[in-house]
Amino acid sequence: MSDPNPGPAATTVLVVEDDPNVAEVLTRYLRREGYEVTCLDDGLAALGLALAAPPDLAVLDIMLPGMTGLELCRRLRAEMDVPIIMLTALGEEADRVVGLELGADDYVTKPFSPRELTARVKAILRRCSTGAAPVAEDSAPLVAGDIRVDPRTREAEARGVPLTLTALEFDLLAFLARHPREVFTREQLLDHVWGFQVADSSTVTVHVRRLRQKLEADPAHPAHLKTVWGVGYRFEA
Amino acid sequence: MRRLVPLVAACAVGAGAAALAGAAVNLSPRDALHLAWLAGGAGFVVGCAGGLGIHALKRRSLAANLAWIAVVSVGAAAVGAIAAARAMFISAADLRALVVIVVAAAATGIVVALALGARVAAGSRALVGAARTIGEGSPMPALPDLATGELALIGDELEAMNRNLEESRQRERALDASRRELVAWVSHDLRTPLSGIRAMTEALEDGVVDDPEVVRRYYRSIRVEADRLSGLVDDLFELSRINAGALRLNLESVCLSELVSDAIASAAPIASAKGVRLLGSVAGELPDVEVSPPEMARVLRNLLENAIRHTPSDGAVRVEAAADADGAYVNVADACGGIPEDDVDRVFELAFRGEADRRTGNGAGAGLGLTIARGIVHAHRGEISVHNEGDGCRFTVRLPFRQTTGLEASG
Repeated sequence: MSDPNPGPAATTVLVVEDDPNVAEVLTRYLRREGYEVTCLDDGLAALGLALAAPPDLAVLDIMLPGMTGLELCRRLRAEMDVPIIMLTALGEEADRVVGLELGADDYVTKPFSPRELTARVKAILRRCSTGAAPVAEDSAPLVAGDIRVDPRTREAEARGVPLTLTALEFDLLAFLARHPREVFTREQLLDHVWGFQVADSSTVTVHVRRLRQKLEADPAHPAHLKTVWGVGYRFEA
Repeated sequence: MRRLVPLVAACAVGAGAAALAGAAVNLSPRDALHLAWLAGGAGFVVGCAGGLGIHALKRRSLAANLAWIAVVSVGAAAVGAIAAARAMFISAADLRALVVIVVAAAATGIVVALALGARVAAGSRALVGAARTIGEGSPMPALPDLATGELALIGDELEAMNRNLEESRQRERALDASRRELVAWVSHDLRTPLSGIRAMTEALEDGVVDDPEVVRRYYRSIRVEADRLSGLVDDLFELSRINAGALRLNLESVCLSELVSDAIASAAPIASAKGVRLLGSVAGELPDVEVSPPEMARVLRNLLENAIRHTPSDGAVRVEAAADADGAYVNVADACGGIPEDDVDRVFELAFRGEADRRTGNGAGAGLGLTIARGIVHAHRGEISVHNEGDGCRFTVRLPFRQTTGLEASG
């Protein structure tokens, strides 16, 4: 068992899931990792709680009474920069990634492995808590063409216009900008930016698309975030 | 030449009309005959010219044709008048006056013909446009006031066709949407118990739970979820058999009250677990019905489970079986609080679930139970319906009496 580390600064995870079996198992796994877990089965109540006491990470089921997980994700994203993992039992690819489109960091398709989900929670929280650390070694602002990324202030701008990026989008952009012209597969990006290998690689695809929409003058014909056909992505200045 | 026949007939009619008209104004029969010959001859000559003209105007606008007809009829009158003047029936002065009148008549005729032609042309253009939009699948534009009865008839036909097409398009869209909804919901409903099973199994495997009491609870929950899953798979199988027309009914003559009694007995544990009272009654002696017992039991079970699921604990579900002149029927009345009017027609639809159900994930079904019930009842040539009544709704299954002729079971 890993060392439980409760205390005033304990990391809080909000789990919103209306299936009691799944909720209980998930709570047990996360508590075992030392997180302070609050589990709710109602979307509306979860929104109220999250607004009153913002968690460090939220795991949201999609089908919820009160308010759907997607709506909850959208509302949370509008208010705070909390990392969000969606749990979805919806079948089609389009339904699954809709959470990512709304700003979730990751999604997991039911039935899922709680072990694996816990690993993802740890990875995301590690990336968030040490967000500045890997950057420190070369924290000078990166300038690539008309794009400027400042790891210290976590600000980015394109063509002189500041970009509103989520934490994950910023990390993705900063990572790619630090390695111009280098080709990365989706798996490598998961490994370096997300911090884990297990996620479905369409998570990367969706985040790249969202980043392009914010970054590129013409997202359909990206000038910076190029697709290397059949391999992955490459950043060009 | 067959085309000459109407022309000759027209001339003959003209001559006959002239003879009658002459007799009416007291001309001597000889003069009348003479005049008739003159008028007929003039009519023939002008009619031939008119026929040639109409041939030349083939596929031209209706306005041009109508104008030409006006010219021809006035021309026939003019030529007839000139011939009559030549034969000294009319004086030269009278002829001059007549020419003025004829010219005025011709002008009026042509203007009226052109106006009518323009209206007919506009109506026909509107019809062509409407037919084209129907063909393209876009909504048909409103038709203007059509000039003639024939055009109006075509317009009515087009509108009827458009309505039919629109209805079938709507049916198709609704069917498509419900099919897609079904796939989404089946996928969701199969995944939900699976994810519980997956999570609990992994927790046991990883030793996340070690308290023997909790471990036992997990085993039990896993079994419950597995049962739920197999119930769903069962429903899907049944539904696909119904939809594919592969439902084989082994009809037997059975006592309806016994079927109902069995259904109540098997639903009793679910009802008491939820604190719902299950009340059954049978009105007098019921005739036998010809049904496939396992299928009909399933219909009753689905209705009862649905009623229990939607009735709050401490509420009651009433089941009654009775018969009237049309056949036997079973009513299942619940205390669900009534179905919203908009949804009444949809409860039997594939994967339909009330909004409240959907949000809370109430119950295990994917909304297949009532669809299955309807499919089975229809296969028995029976009817199933639902009405709001009191503090809930009442489902009614009607079954025809045992038929003397062998009832062919079909899907």
